Amino acid sequence: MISIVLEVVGGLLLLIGLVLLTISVLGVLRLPTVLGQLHAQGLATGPGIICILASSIATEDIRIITFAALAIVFVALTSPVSSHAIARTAHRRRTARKAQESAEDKTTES
Amino acid sequence: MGKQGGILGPVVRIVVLTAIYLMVLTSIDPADILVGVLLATALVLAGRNVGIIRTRSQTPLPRRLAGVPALIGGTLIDLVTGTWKTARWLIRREVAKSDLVEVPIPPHGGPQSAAAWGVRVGFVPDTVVVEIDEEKGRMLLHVIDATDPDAVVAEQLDTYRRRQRRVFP
Repeated sequence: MISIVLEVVGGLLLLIGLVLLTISVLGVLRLPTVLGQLHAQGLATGPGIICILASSIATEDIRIITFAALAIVFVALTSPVSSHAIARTAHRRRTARKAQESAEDKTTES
Repeated sequence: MGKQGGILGPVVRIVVLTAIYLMVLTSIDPADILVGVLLATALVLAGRNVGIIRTRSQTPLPRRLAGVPALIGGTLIDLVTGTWKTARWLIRREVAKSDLVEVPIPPHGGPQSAAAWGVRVGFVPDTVVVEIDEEKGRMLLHVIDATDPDAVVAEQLDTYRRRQRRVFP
């Protein structure tokens, strides 16, 4: 009985994870800015991956489940940091480009 | 209390460092656990001598640890709601107004508090941490719906108070 419940829960988690990954890919392809794309990417690297790793409960293998749990914690700690690094670089580049453009406009006006 | 906190602090650090080591290896072999504990102990002891790991908080450690369930549970709730919002935002035809919002960081919080806030907020897909400026006491976030920046700031400060302040004040 428990085995069936775990299989159903695992299957549902896998399905949710795959749906989230698909939406994430759609978002990355659709959104025009890096900062916008990071939200879409966050859907995959956060809840998407967590759901897929959590679906390992269907295996009922304590070793696999422990590995998955450790991987979830590792992903939870590292994905915000990598996303922040990309966001900061994109923001700085955008700010620098805007400053350069406004300086060029002023030069053209004068 | 002071002595208890003095012993508990290094032990918690050793446990956390060992957990990180095991996470990187994705292993729970007894030999790896032993190596992890030894490395973590060496690192904590070295940090004490060099003075690296010496962040003292005014809140006692047991009280901070008591706030961990609220921090983890609250972050999971934020994760679920943020995932739902982001998924809906990405599927919709017309994209809502996403933009940068400046959130003030409470002045009493140290670098640990700002870092924890950044990780907590960055983990949720509807917010991306762009910049954390401790000197100016502000955090720059990119949010998917920035039509009302004041509401975003109020929400962020509220989640800080309810989820994080006890653990990382």
